[in-house]
Amino acid sequence: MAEGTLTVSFEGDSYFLSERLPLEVRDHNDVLVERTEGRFHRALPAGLYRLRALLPDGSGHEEVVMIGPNQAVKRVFEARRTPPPARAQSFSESAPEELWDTSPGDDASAPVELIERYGAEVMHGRRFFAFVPGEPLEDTPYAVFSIGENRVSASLPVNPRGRYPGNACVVGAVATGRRDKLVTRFAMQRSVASAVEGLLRSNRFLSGSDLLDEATELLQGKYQDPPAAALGGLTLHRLGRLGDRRRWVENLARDFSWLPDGRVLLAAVLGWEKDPDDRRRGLEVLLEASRHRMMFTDGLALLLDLLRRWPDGEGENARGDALIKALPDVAGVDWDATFLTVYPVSPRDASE
Amino acid sequence: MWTAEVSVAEILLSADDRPGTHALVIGISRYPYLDGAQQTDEGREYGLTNLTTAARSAAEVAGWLLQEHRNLDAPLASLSVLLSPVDGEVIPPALAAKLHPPLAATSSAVRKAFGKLRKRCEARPGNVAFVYVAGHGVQLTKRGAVVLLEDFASPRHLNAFDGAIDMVGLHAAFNGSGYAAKQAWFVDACRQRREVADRFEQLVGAFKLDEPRGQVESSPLYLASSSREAAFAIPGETTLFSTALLEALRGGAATGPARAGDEWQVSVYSLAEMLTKTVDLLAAEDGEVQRVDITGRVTNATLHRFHRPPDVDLRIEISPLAAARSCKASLYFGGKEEVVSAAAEWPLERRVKAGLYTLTVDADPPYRAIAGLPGDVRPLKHTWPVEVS
Repeated sequence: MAEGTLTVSFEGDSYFLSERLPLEVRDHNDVLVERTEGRFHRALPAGLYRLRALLPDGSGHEEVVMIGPNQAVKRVFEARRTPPPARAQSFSESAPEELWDTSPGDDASAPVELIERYGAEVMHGRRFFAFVPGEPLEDTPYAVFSIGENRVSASLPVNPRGRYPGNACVVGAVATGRRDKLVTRFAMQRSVASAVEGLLRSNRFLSGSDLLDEATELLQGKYQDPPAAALGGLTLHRLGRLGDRRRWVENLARDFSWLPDGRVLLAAVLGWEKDPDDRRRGLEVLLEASRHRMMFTDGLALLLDLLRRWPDGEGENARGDALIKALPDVAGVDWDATFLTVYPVSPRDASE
Repeated sequence: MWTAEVSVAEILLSADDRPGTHALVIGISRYPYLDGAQQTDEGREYGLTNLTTAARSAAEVAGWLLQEHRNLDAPLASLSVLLSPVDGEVIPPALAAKLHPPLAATSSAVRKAFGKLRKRCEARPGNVAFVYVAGHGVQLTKRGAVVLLEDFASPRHLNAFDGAIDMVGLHAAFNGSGYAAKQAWFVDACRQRREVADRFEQLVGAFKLDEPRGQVESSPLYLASSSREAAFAIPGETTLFSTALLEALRGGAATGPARAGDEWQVSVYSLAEMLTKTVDLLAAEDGEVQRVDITGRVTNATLHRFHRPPDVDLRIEISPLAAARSCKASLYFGGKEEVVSAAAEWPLERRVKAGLYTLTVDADPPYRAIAGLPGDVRPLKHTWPVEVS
């Protein structure tokens, strides 16, 4: 049978992503030819094939290719080239546009103003805001905006261990069907973090679950990006795939103590340990973490879940009290957002 | 030979001692203590009304399990169905005929049903569990879901949440070493307004079971909730989520085999991707928002198999329309096997098997002929627009 060759690869700024992005090739009967990562090169019988790849921004790509006899077909999937690091932290300049990966949507209809912030310095953009780490952190950085009459708070995933733009995040207000919403993203120069967040946003994290696994390890260890590492850890926990990572979670909670989501994750792990001392410590960690603002919506979801359903049932009263204290904030949470974003329940600001 | 013995609300397919799929399907549209003549004071405070589609949606899922589900490793062995329909809600006759009489989804019935299901799951790891629940509910986060049962707010209940089930807690109670290794759970809940949802944050008393240690191999929990009550369903039909789920199981989420000779299948991953996309599209058609979240023990597993590649209703549309008189199309499966020869009717509609095709269009001037245009024809319906100008 006449054969040709098919070569598929990824190119981008991140060597890790280029080598790890999942790729699948199927024939015209949809029979799997190969599922691999990073690159594919093989001689194949002439005919039609379907390529399916996960791109660095977390989106999916599919196409049909025709391989002719003795024909070499090549496909290269390119990550968006990130612009070189901007002028170092010149906060007077308004040039953070290059931190966005893709436009999050149409401009909000109402005027947006930054009212207050904690733990981050702001670089004003024309359409949105970029933040970098500010004073040494003791708690989750956040900012409060006014969007028209509403006051909206958003947790800010800045990275105090990174250098600009690898430590930045961006927040913009966009118009959606029913209201103006805040959208928060990692700066796209945090390519692995952006890939993880993009996977979650596009709900393709399942086909990229091995990537999520490795990326999570890498984000904490090599890249020292604790918010992104915590997001990866929370997602793996939600999918029941955190596995035996107690030490990893302990390190996350200890080394980045300003990030309460890490402590909630630790509580989730300790709560299931056989040793009652571990479970007791887990409950203490949980109750302590409940007094802080979470970075991630899923961190809050896990917190609430554990306060409601602690594995051995201990601490019912204390958990109930903590739950009552958390409820006023829960009412306005945008559960579809990755980073904790809280809207007022009424048009007026409902915060005390 | 399979025989069906019918007991109240349960269809047992007798078999030898082999692994089987055990299913529990619950649909609650009628809430007498929340809406109507029996409304209690407590029920009135919630401000909820009967639904019109949850029971029917559950019945449609049960019907699929009974008539179409296929998993040779664990064929359907039992199907328990609890339905609380409202007057006029249509239950498929084929299913209604098998339930003598149908059992309402009250707290006691649901507790018994889950207890029985868990015993069957404990019996052998080779068993498979399939759970679908639809009704009023609360799903505030990607990790939590509560569903209200028919007798919620009943004056006979001692606790506020005696008529509610903590779906995530129940799901966790089936996730233990030695339990049915593969499970699939679906919660189709109509998300409530904030002031209602707040009441459920402290969910002490809602039904759940003790959580065992260990983990099963695969047990995804697909949580669907509309952001508003109006987005839950098309009135008089079925919920958006159940519509998407059945479309997916009937081929929309089908993927080809891992090896030649194996069967097409719907897997945990393919179902998740397709459900997310379809529910989003269906809701957006009405300007609404509905999400599907996935939690649990999410590893890939086969949920359903097809004995042959799924068929596709293929529609090829030519553009501009004026070119229709001057163009003839031929379709080739795999680029080689001719399945349509020089067809001149437009739009061209055929039922073909899923897979990759090439399309050739012979066109008279001034239109442009097309040779060997590749296309991916995916189940269940595929529209292929072709431009010849």
